[in-house]
Amino acid sequence: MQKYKGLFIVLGIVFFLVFGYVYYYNSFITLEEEINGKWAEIENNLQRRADLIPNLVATVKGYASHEEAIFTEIAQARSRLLGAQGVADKVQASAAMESALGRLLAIAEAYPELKADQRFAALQDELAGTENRLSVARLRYNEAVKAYNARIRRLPARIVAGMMGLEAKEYFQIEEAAREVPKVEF
Amino acid sequence: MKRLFVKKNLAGSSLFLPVLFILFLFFLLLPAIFPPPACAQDPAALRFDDYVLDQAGLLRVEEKRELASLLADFDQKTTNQFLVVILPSLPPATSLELYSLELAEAAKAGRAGKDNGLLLLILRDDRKIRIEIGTGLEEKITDGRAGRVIREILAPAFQRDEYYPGIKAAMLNLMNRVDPSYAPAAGGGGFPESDGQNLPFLPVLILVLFVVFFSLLDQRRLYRRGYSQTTFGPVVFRHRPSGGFGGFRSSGGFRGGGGGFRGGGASGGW
Repeated sequence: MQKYKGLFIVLGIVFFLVFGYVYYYNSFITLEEEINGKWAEIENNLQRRADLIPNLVATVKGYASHEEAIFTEIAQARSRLLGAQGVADKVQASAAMESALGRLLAIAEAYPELKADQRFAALQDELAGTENRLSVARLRYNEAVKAYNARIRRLPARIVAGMMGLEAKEYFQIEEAAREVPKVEF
Repeated sequence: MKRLFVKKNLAGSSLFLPVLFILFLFFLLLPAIFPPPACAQDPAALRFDDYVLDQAGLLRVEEKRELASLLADFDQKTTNQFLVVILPSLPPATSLELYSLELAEAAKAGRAGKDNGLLLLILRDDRKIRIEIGTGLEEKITDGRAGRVIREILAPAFQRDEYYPGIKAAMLNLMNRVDPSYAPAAGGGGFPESDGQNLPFLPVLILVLFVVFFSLLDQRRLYRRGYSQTTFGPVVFRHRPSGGFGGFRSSGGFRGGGGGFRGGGASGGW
């Protein structure tokens, strides 16, 4: 029995290491999937906003057709957002879109007939709802990223994360400048 | 081996480990011993045991009861859980949208798989309204519709100080959107004497004790026989409905089913 003592210890350690690896591996995968799910939610809402915009622009055009500058700006922001790839790019494009929309709605303030339009009011609600869903999705995405980042940086999980080549994920953060965009208020 | 032990004793550390352990336990349990003070306005601190929660006193008692029975009826017939929450004002450092989302999630409005909850939040002093819509109802009640209900039904009624008629009309309108076939119980949501309140207390208590007693007895006997208790456990405890009503709940009671929200809905004011 004494002869095998060393062997048992080695086997025990190996088992422990393998078990630890599998455990952390699975937990990383779960957290990563969580992030992916939340990110998909953000993308859905960005898409939904992009879909709403042509309607909104058409309605505003019906009352304020001469405000060409803002329409071009919106169109540009929209195509940029639809073409954006990756988190950082999307964050920026999204901020630009928000600021253009804010200006559009500010312009709308000057047209009482437009403001009284039922369709415009409903579109504004839809837009505000989408913005709100987007901010909720952003919050939840960032929470998921936070959980993931904290997990892969802490020991001993960090060792496994290093072996898997995992890196910290980006937050969906809006720069302070972009946050001062006129908010869609009702 | 022996020398090591002696050495340890010499260092006077026979008490060290236990003390360390106790200290460790103490810090571990610290949050449990001194829980952080719960804010009165914290959504988790509010008790959602009814479909209507009025902390601002906008509704009279019978109005509140009538509204609750309408909402309970709608829940029972269509499984959609609509809640009305009226508070004096928004707590500091939060936004209307964020707070109403927290409320809806704390109340667990809607069934777990269906996410079919709805929460109407009214802030008396801020004169603000928000309709928070569960993920599963977003298709039926779009943000535009919710906004329209606020603008055309709630806001005008509230401006005339007609709180109950406004809320009821809004709820009926939204119910109709969700399930056009739904017809409120006789008298347009008039309150039927809820059978729950007439439920005799003592017999129910005895019945409950009876069930508990026998289920304990049952478990012990099964234990002795060596059966797994989970497979033979008493039916009452195994089948906890994920939503809806337990056996003895009055029809006025509300229990959240855990529906999901993601920020859909509309905000407004009056």
